[in-house]
Amino acid sequence: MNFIRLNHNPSALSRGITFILYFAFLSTSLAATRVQNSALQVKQKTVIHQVNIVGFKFVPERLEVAVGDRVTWTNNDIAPHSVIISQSNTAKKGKEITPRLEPKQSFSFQVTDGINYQCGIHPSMQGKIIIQSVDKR
Amino acid sequence: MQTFNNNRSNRLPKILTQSSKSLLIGMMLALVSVSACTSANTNSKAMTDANIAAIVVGANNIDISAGKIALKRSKNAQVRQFAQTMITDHTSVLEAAVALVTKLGVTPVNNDLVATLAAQSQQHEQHLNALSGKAFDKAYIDHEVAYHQAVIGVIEKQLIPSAKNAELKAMLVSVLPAFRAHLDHCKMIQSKI
Ligand SMILES: [Cu+2]
Repeated sequence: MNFIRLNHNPSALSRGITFILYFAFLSTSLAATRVQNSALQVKQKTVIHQVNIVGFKFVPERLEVAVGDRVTWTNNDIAPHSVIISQSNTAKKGKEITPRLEPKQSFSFQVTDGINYQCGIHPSMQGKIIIQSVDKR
Repeated sequence: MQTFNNNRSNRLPKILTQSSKSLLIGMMLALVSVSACTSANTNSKAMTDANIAAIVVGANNIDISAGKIALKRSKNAQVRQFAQTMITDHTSVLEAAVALVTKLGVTPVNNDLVATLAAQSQQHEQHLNALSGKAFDKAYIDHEVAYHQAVIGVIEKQLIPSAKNAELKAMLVSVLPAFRAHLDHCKMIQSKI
């Protein structure tokens, strides 16, 4: 969770700076490490969560993530599937999250808030992304 | 493997007509009676892996064919989307099944159940081709609900217990979620039309 990446070319100098920043970051509070420091172009490494689509199910069906994390859906099924905002959601229902995914295709999505979702092709396939509280990380 | 191929068009002659309701009841009864017959007479009528292959191929082709009729005749967006999904998914299942039985060297052999399914399908298609608008949508979706229920029952109670080859059995287990998702989907549409 505390990886730091500098957005310029790797060199001995930048690696040195990375180390300094890394220890500086570790010494600050956990809450502080979650804040992106744009002035120093330092950011927390993005966490990627995997959702497997298999047997006409999203596995896991329920996923807890932090805001800014990514979720990657991979279709390991025999038929195409997609991910859309659930029809049961009041706002943005039916909004496309992934395009149609043919077998073996993946799509990654950056989470901004919690959602109930479903397959756009098979409405009985349902899933849920929940935003976890900061102190759980 | 000339007994079947990926030609998904309905190759059966259309000869029979009957009302949709009696057709559905007839189909259910036929499946049950063929089932009873199969389990009672294990010597001459036991279901072989070759029969199972023919049933899987036939059952998928039937639903693909009905979906094509729905795309031609329905104007309801939900019904059309469902029909397209049936064509896509049952084509995938069919291709996977054909690939597996080809690999296993199993040549599909028709039995009473295949003949029954084919005859019921012809009647149903004849009926569908005479309908349009809401009457068509209702007849198509009602039949899809009954058909998926019937096929799930056949796979669970007859095909899986009868399959001798482990890979064939695993394939049958793996296609059930598709049929269940389709059943849920057409029930949702049925409740709205
Ligand atoms: Cu799906």
